[in-house]
Amino acid sequence: MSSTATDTAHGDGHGHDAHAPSGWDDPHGHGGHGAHDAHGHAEPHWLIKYFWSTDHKIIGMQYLFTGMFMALIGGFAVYVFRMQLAFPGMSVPFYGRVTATDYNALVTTHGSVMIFWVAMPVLIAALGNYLIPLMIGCDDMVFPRLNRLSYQLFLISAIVLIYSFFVDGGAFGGAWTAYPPLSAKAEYNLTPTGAPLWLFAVALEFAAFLLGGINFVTTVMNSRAKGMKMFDVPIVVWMIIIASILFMASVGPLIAGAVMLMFDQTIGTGFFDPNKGGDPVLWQHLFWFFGHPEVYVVLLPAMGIVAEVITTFSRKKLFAYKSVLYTAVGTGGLSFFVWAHHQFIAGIDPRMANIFSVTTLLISIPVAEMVFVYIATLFGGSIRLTTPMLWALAFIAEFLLGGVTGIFLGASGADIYFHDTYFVIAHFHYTFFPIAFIASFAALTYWFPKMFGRYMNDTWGKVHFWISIISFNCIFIPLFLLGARGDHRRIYDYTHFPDLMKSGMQDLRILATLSLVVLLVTQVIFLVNFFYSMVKGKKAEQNPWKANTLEWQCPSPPPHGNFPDGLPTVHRGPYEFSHPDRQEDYWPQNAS
Amino acid sequence: MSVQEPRKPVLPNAVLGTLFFVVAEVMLFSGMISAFTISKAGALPGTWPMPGQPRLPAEATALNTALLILSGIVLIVAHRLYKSKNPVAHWVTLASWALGTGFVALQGVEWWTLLNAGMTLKSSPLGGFFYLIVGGHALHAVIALVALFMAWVKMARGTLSPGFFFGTQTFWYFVVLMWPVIYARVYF
Amino acid sequence: MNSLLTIACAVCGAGEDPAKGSYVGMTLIISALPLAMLGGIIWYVVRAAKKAELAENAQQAKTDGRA
Repeated sequence: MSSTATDTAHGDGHGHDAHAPSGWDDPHGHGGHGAHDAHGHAEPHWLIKYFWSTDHKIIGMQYLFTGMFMALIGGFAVYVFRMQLAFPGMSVPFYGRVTATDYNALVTTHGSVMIFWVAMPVLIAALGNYLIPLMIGCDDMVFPRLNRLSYQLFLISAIVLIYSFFVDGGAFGGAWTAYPPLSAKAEYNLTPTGAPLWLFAVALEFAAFLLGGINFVTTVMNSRAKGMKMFDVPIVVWMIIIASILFMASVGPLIAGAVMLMFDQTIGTGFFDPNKGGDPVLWQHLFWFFGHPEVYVVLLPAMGIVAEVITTFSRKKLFAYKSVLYTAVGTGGLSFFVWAHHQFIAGIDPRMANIFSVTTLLISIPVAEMVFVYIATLFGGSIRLTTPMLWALAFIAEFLLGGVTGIFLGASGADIYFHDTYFVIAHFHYTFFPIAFIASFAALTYWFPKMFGRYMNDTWGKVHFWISIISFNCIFIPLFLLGARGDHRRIYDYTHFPDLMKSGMQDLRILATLSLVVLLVTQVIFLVNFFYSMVKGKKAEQNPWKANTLEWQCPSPPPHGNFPDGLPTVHRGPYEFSHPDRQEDYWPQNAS
Repeated sequence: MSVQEPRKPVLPNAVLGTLFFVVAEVMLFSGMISAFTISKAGALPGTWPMPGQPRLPAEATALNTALLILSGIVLIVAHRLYKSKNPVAHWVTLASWALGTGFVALQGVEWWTLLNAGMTLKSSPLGGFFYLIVGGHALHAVIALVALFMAWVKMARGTLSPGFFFGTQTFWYFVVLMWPVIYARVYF
Repeated sequence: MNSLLTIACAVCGAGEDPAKGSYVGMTLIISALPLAMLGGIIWYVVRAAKKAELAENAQQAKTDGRA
């Protein structure tokens, strides 16, 4: 084994300017060895620097900005179709009249974009790429070119998806879960070209995250700073690693299903077509076998971000570090046994539904435990209500609501009645909005000084926070009420359903839609604050929040190679706040 | 800029990376095989295989299977020889590559016969699954064979890195070990 | 006898599904397989780490003895 030790990216003894080709990184000879050595001492052309870089920070930024751009698309889609639901038949400002086919395409686009092109790239790829090497104290990922390839595949997938809006028939209209027969036959979904393009984009995106995940896991295993033991790794890094492993282990069946569905769409095979001997429920199993671990793939990094923010701003050690870690591993393991709770009324054996009910209710225990641990961390701390801290606290409160309503849906008896109502929609938005947006805002406001060397405006940050949180709740509490009254989802125009127009139901829809418009407009505050602070914000020092983890012990923003004074050596865990023997209330991991 | 001695990894990067990649690949095939198993069990009686369609040549494929497994064993021998720096190692690697190529070629002949007998991707669920699963395996086999050939060229020139050889080997063992499972499930 | 009546219910009819056995079996296999494989990798890594530690200790003892 020792003969292969020189195989690591750092094993060439040149420090961090030359990444030795790692062999496996380049199995098919693309690039070649010479091409890679070019990056290093001389300042490259800006096009090369920002679009062809192997630096983990730049790749992280690429993911971040692509994710933010895609969030605008997802946000615009939801604006248009919510307007149609609140004011059926009206000509929506900036869009025009929404046809039924448009409506399907917009709902599909909103769902798939927000999960696959916003939550995944921002939470895992952007923050993982940016934070992992900084937080474990190394100069770059172990497979830098694989990392670049990962972003390029992701970018192509985003371009393919955007291109599919403009093809004949428009974007895919089979919902983001793509259940056959609706998704398999063009005569049902009316999007003959959009459907295979959507599947292709999703498959490409998964390939990108597969490469990224392999990179993350290998980097954390092999490139940690000297002295950093398993339990000295910050929780957010652990969470991203566990999430990446979950993703890698669950994505295979979905890729298999995607290929089968694409054959059904384009060649006319009958894998999911009962007329040709296929089984449409099979797709639901293949999809949700990935789809449910996917929920935890995005939840765990969000939980990790909250752990970092909460410990820093309550100046307290994380309560029960090891328990959080074991709980996260347990959640990941259990998440492979819950997927069939999406098929309770799709005709699965009721006895099997019982088992999946039990596992579904069980998985709420570890997640609840994590929430308790965070509350215990807050207890008795000297809490500072900065903008990132507000977002982190809001995450706990709002995610709790999402989790608790999940108990209703996990019980198969109740799910028979709640299935496909707005109750389900409100439930998963109470989990996904905190994950994809609240946690991302916590992360962005918290690490902004490190990323750009400047502060964001705190006052405008708080204004943005309060309006966003209030309007978010005003969207989804009405949807819970609607769902409890049997409001069915996937309906384009409720005026055709008199039972769903009774006593005030339409008023609730209008309230939700108006709150949504407020929420979307509020994001302008964030965007302006973000980009203005990037160039004009107050200069930030190296460690503005007085935190312990290694990313705060290098310059802001970190230079190429991250640690100009040599890679750090770690002496203690990441959360040594308010230590009684110390004058300062923090104790950096690398301080002697 | 000071240079520090890097952490000595427990397992080399290439080893860890390939292992996780193989986990994802095994899940891809287990997804396809489980879909096949469920569809087969749910098929109406007498439609598997469809009347008028050829049945899969399970006996003839036993030879292909033997070739592929032999190729895997020969590669293990090549690995041993390479570790002990034996100059014959690259010829043994080439032998393993040739056996693997023989497998792919025989599979190609089998596909040709089946296609001519009227079994296509669209003709029946069995046909669809057959070409999907066996085709997916063949795709992996071809990619692995390209990598193995490159490993042979590098080994003969003496420029082979242990990481590349390990990654290629792991991928080839994955292709070899996946096949008996596919053979047992799909052909019988 | 009353199977004709219960067939109107999507959930009740599932009991007579000929593919039921395969469904249950494949559910078990596909759920346990990723955990088994990841467990295997973790076992392999821990074993390699222990081996490396032993070798390092032996090396240390050797150099100490020489000094």
